[in-house]
Amino acid sequence: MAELSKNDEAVAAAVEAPVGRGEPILQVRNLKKHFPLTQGILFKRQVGAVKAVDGVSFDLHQGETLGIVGESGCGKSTVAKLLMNLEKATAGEVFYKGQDITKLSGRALKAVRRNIQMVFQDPYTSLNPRMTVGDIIGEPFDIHPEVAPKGDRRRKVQELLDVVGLNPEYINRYPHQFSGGQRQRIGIARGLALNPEIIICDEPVSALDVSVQAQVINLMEKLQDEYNLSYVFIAHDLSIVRHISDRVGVMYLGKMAEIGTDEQIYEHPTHPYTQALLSAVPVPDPEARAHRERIILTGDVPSPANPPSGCSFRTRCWKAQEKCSTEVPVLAIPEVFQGQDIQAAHFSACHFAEEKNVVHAG
Amino acid sequence: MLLEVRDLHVEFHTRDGVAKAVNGVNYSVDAGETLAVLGESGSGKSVTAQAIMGILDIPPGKISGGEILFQGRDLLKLKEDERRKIRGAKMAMVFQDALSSLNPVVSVGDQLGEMFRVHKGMSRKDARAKAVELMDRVRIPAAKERVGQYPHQFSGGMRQRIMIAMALALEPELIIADEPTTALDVTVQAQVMDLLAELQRELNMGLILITHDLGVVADVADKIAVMYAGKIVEQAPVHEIYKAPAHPYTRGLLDSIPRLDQKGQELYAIKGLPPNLLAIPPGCAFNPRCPLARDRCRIEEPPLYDVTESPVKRSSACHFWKECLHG
Repeated sequence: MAELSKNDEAVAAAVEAPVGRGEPILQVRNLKKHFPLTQGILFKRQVGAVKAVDGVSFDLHQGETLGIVGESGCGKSTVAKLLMNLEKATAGEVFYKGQDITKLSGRALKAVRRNIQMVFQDPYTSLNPRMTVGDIIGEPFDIHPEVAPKGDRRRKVQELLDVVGLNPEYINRYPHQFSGGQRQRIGIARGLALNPEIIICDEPVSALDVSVQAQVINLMEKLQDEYNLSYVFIAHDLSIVRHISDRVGVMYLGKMAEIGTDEQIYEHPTHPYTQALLSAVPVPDPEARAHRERIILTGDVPSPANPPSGCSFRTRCWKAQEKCSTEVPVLAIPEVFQGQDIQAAHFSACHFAEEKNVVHAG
Repeated sequence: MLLEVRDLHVEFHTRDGVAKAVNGVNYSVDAGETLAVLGESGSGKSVTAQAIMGILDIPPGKISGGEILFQGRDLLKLKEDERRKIRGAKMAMVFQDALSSLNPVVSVGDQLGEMFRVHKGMSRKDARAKAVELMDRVRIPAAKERVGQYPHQFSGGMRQRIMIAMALALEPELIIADEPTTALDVTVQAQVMDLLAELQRELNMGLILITHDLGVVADVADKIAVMYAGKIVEQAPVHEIYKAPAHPYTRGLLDSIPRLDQKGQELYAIKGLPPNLLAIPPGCAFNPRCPLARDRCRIEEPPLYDVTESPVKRSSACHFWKECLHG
């Protein structure tokens, strides 16, 4: 027991150490989450698994925003929960400053969680309707009293309200008295309360009106500069992701299909799924109607309980060949681009990666 | 003209007072034409559609003025049983959320077939055959095998196809699609919008597309009506509006789309919040959020000015539309 607590302290000390700008703060390695499918009532036997996340690897660098895009069911929200250790990973590691947080528990985990916070999608259901705004934003201090001593909390909460652009006098109001955009600001204030280093944002603006989305995005960018935050920004709106992200990862059926800088992904995509995704986004310019070539994918995303063999995208891919059904493509710089100093030379999990000119929004 | 809405007013009587959801809306759609109604939540775009379809909850809702002319007849003067004959047969609606709009305990075949049984008095067997035909038409694979399945057995995109099939069942002349693709993923959204546009062309239907997505609008619309606080603030053909908006609200919406050359800069954001419909600001409803607002805007309510400068007709409800159009 004594040894364990010593270990906890070592972890707690390690996570306090600062990380230089641009260095990896979060390293995700071959992360997997399989949800078991069971049959029977009393004697449940496992008949299969939903492979929600199936081997995802990426780095998050200090001070940057990593965007993760993908369609519903691709596992992007499960990745968010795994990064927070809200779900136990089936396999793989998440290193935060060198500590594997999937293996942590107790005090050590608590110390890590202080530094990794989350902002949720739906500002209507992620705030407790029976708590005042002051209690909601102040609740993290109950768990981590070392951040703000009791007598100081009210002032601290008011400061946070001010930071996110809400009137500090609103501290005693309830969530229903606020609009969607204001509620999302409350959620952001709660995420900021413990001075975290990383904020995981799961679709933070998709429930908001267009005119309010821009306000919240601007606020998040301002806070990133001010507090030196690193964001994992999960969304399905590709133009917003491009605006806010330094690097972007594209997920399909529990796997990372392509990852690179925003320019590499948006201007030089080499994975057919990324190309189809970009071409499907409606362009807010009627003049583009005539001269854009859209790649319309047929069919739906296959079930993650029974993904296709080989490349999981092959069932909807126009390039698929024999090799795609037998060999799983690895996420690496494709052979054809290796050793070349061009934008297309970035990580893409396709046997037949090539550039294709796509007219798209953003 | 297929449909003409004239000076429509709808209000809701609530405990806190009267919420003025629609305050004098005028728009029209012709056969084969697509009108996009653009607006944020609470702008009255869906309420207008519900009034046209005759599915408004009354009370608390109340149509307090105006006319809805469908093929020259004022729908608001018709009796309920006459309207019922029009609804579904002559005009139909596609809703946003297919999962909650379909009955979970009735098979999709029966739900589609109901259209034919109720409106055409077909037998159960014929109606089912028709249902299979419709499912084929909206390209649901293995329609014959799937006709007996229930909504939860279909994916989101497939459910939305079933909604479209249901709306098309009796080959109506007008379709109102209320955010038909908002709940769908982009690759599926593209499939569904393409299907809708193709069927519209084929049947030469009028389409009212209600949406907040400026991208979808640019892709399919012929003309646009922008709504704010229950009013149309700008109406114009699609090319004109994207090239040069004549109302500051439209301009704000277009400017708040992230653009490539703005990377790393602050996004343009319309300040403030949409108004509370219980207390719409006097004068121009947009004035508290408007960068061009001055004293006149706070007192005098702008009419829908004719701002036609080129051969195409357009209008804007801004006193200073010239400044907006050329500034």
